[in-house]
Amino acid sequence: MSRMTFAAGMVDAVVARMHDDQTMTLIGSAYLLGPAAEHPALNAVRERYADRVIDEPPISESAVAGLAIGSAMSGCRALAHFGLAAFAVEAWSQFIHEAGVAHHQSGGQITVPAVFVMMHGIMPIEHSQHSRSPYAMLANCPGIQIVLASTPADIKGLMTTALRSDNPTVVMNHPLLMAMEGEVPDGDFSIPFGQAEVRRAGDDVTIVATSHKVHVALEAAETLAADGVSAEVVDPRTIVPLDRAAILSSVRKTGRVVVVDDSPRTCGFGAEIGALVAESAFDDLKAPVVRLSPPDIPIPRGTVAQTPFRTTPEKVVGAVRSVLR
Amino acid sequence: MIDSAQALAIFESMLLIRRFEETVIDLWATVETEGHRHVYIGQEAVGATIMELLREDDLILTTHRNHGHVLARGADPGRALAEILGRADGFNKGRGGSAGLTVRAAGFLATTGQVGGGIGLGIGAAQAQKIRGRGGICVTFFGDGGLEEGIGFEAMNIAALYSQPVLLVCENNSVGVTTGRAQNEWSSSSMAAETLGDIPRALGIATEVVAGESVTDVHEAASRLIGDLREGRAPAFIEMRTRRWPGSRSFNPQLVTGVTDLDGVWDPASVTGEHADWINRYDPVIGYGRDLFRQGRISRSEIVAMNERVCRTVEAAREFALASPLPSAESGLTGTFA
Repeated sequence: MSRMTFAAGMVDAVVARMHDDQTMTLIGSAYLLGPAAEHPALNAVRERYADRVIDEPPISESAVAGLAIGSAMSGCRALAHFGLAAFAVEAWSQFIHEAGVAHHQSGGQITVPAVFVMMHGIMPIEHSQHSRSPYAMLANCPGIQIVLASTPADIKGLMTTALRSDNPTVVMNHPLLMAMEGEVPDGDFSIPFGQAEVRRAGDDVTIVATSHKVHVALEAAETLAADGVSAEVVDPRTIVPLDRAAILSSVRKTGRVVVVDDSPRTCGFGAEIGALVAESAFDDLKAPVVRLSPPDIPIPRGTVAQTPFRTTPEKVVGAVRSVLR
Repeated sequence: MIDSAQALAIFESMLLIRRFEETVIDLWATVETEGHRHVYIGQEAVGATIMELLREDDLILTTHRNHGHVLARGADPGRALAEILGRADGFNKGRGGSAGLTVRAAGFLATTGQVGGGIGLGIGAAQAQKIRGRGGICVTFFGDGGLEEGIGFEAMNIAALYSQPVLLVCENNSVGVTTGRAQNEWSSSSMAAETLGDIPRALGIATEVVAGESVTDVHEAASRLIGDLREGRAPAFIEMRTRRWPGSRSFNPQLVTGVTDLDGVWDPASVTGEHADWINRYDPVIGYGRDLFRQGRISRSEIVAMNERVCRTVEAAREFALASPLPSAESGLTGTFA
């Protein structure tokens, strides 16, 4: 085990795969990797394998996605970094019409071992066009795996799995995770997709949370524990594939669900979990499902105006109290 | 000058495409079939000639108008036709149909009906070829409509910036089309540029603008540019200008020029009727047949024998395709992920 940041955990996986897979291409600006850009190992691998690095490509998200997907279809794995998920929306057609359908539509002839990395969430000093968490949009387009990691160990393990998968994978990270520290297994370490992690065990309520909101939920659970409320925090880690069994198993135990994530409310991830629980655990429910998600309004610029859009531990505590009534 | 063996191979490939496409149109008229199809009639010289110039390890991206490319690359016509009919024995197990027919084993990375999408994928394939370092290239076929999408510009810019070994083949089949809408056909091309080759030229990409119905012209330009790509002078662009075949329709091509009569090769006077001008001036099969016949590289009896051989192949493909079942109702429920 080594203590490192989330960004360093991600870089650990990328660097190992760049060494081990001599056809893998790394596409995207170092700057867009955020704090990871400063990681010496990443810079070393970028220098050592310069012929497999496309640095600072033009501001052409569609073609950058095409570059990664076409390379992957040819048998050369590719990782493309887009900076913000908000920018990557430009590449949606390549993700959903090319990467997402190629394997199925070709009758299994084509595989797409490509990974697309981007940051989601509220960008405090940016306007609405930069603050996006569009993973529910992608989950609505079959054929793309979606990773939402929340810890340094998980991003290493999930990124390693993404970089070994024959399927296209979108990895969305929240900027507030980047500098978070945690223990990360040394050496080769992977986490299978579709396996949720129970971050905190509890009996009274299930909080399903993703990405940065896992930490918000854990903070809320701590506060609730002081009041004698036992909250279970379930982190799906990948929303495609989704570990439905783990979520339902927790809900059957607690009978109460609060979903905390960053996708907008309508047809968002919270709506999916609400529907899942209503369909498959209706008789176990003791209270209505509550979704804590940003409202269906463009996220405004500035930390003050963003207050109603930001899910805090206090809001989670309030939501839990409402389902316990 | 194209050597005779290569010339005859190209001509036979063109004839195979023509007979195959005539069969596709006939099947839609005579057998219960689903979906639309885009045929390659009038563009045979492009696909047949370029495929003849490629190596086995070259990669190819193509579009909804792919039948000619797939056949010219040597893919099994029976499985190709089965796919076009959406049958279980098609290359894509019936999931691609006419517009999505792809043959990975023959070097086709993807066939995309998303207009312009393949231009983006092609730069990735070219990048992979560069990493492998064995001189392989990527050929990306797209229509004039493909350049109307923004990704074409983005991808050409990246290909030029990183010297990626991709041959961009723009099959402009809108030359001379003014009455498209009146014929219930797409109105393409809707480009402000008259010569599409001017667009890549602005990015410094080596570009040729060629008469796409001429095997000689296509061969001259493509062989030179492909040679350049293999030696690292990349990328390259060819605008293949072809005069649209009069039977082209948006969903339902009509064989208005009739089943191609090869008498027109040795007896030009036999070409008559409403579309005689298109056949005499722009039909690549008749045109190249006449070239080879005049040059004494093929005789009338050899053409007749070649035609019989090709028709037998297509008839066998037709029997194979029609004997293949439709995919089951459950068949599409699997295989989303590898």
